[in-house]
Amino acid sequence: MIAILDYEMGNLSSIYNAVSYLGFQAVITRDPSVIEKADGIILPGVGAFKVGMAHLHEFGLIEPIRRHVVEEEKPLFGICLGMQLLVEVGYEHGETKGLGIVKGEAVPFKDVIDPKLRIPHVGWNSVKQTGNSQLFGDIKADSDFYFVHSYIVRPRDPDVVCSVTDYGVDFCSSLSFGSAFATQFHPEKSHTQGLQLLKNWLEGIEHA
Amino acid sequence: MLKTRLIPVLLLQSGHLVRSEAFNIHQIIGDPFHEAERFNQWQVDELIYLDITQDQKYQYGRIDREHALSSQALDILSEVSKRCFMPLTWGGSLRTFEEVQEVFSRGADKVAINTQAFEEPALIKKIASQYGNQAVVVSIDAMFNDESGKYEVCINGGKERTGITPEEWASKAETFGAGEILLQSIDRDGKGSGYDVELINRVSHCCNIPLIACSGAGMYEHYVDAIEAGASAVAAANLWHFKELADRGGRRALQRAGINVRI
Repeated sequence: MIAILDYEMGNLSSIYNAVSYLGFQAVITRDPSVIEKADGIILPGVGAFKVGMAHLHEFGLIEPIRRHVVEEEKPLFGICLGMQLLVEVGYEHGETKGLGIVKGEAVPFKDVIDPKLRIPHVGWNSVKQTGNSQLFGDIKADSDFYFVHSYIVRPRDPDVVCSVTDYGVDFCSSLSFGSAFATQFHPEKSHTQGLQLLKNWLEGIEHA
Repeated sequence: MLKTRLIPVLLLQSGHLVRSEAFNIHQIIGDPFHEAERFNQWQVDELIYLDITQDQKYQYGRIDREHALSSQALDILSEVSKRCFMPLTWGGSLRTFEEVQEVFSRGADKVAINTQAFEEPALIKKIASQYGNQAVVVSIDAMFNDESGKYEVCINGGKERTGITPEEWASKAETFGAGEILLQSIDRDGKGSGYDVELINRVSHCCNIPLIACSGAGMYEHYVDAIEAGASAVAAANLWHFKELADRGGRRALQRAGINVRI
């Protein structure tokens, strides 16, 4: 059973619909006792880093997430803000501590790219796989996925980077560390390749 | 690099798919579910639904906000969002934060707000702080004012002139937290004679958020003009419904012009 975390940061129904469509059981929850029993967690989210962390704190989800990933080494799939929150710190109106599961930081696009490029980065862009993750499976090496974000993650260790995407700068569009895998793009909004990626992750849990 | 988006716009009135011209004539052209399925199979970049049912009610002076949102339209949204795994934007007479919340809970990724955003910009901020800037598309309808020699924003389904230029309003909307601008030309609506590139050029230079150009596409080559004028994405309604292979045709035209699109 997959737990999709509800911390009031974004459209959960799309993810739930995608997981159900693929034939897997999911529940939208913020109940730590349910999360504890989950085989896998999806950490979704769109919006601000600071607000995201504040909500995770408010709903008592920080410890359950850390326990699931770090102690129990159970699978987690982070999407968009869900990927950004995995790092140590986010820089937006000051500094905010993240979950600290992956070494690195989240920074605003506007600080690192040509000011002529429009922000947020919205639309389909090429996800160039680095080969650091098997989860992409048979998905073509530079398939397009849907992005919508104003921040990027800069992991400290290049080996965690599973794909790179170009928008003014080559940024990390997916990463993998321990049992955590995360994408800056929205697989639930990326047609067949997005669904395939989710399916690969879900099947990996089923066969574990 | 980021690919240019081609976005079909579906206009809904009382649960039917309609076409319009100069924001006036509405003729029924199809079934929204059938169209959504078609777009899903073609794997289009995004979908925009604009429910103009309420405009009619508003026009007849029925200010019945208790059951404000057409439940028929919302049911369409729920059904479509269950089967379409691509971004969905929903708009049309959204007036209150509660209505916006309902639309998000039914599966929309972004909301398009028009008149209410203009009359109450604080609503943009409120939606953005809850759902993120990227979830708010501010929709702007503009027409050329021959007297002043400038473009002018019109609200309430294009019926009321505001005296404000779209450049000014788009820039202001950005400061209030809009993630994207959806720019429609009342003059070009339904005519098929091309986008208003002058309008697109002016507005795109006044803001740094993505601009989705709409209204006027009659040939795929028109997409190129809009992108070269500064649009980040090209939206069209009629072009998608009345032409076979609209998706491929549009992509090919942009590719030929050297513009990056999904293949």
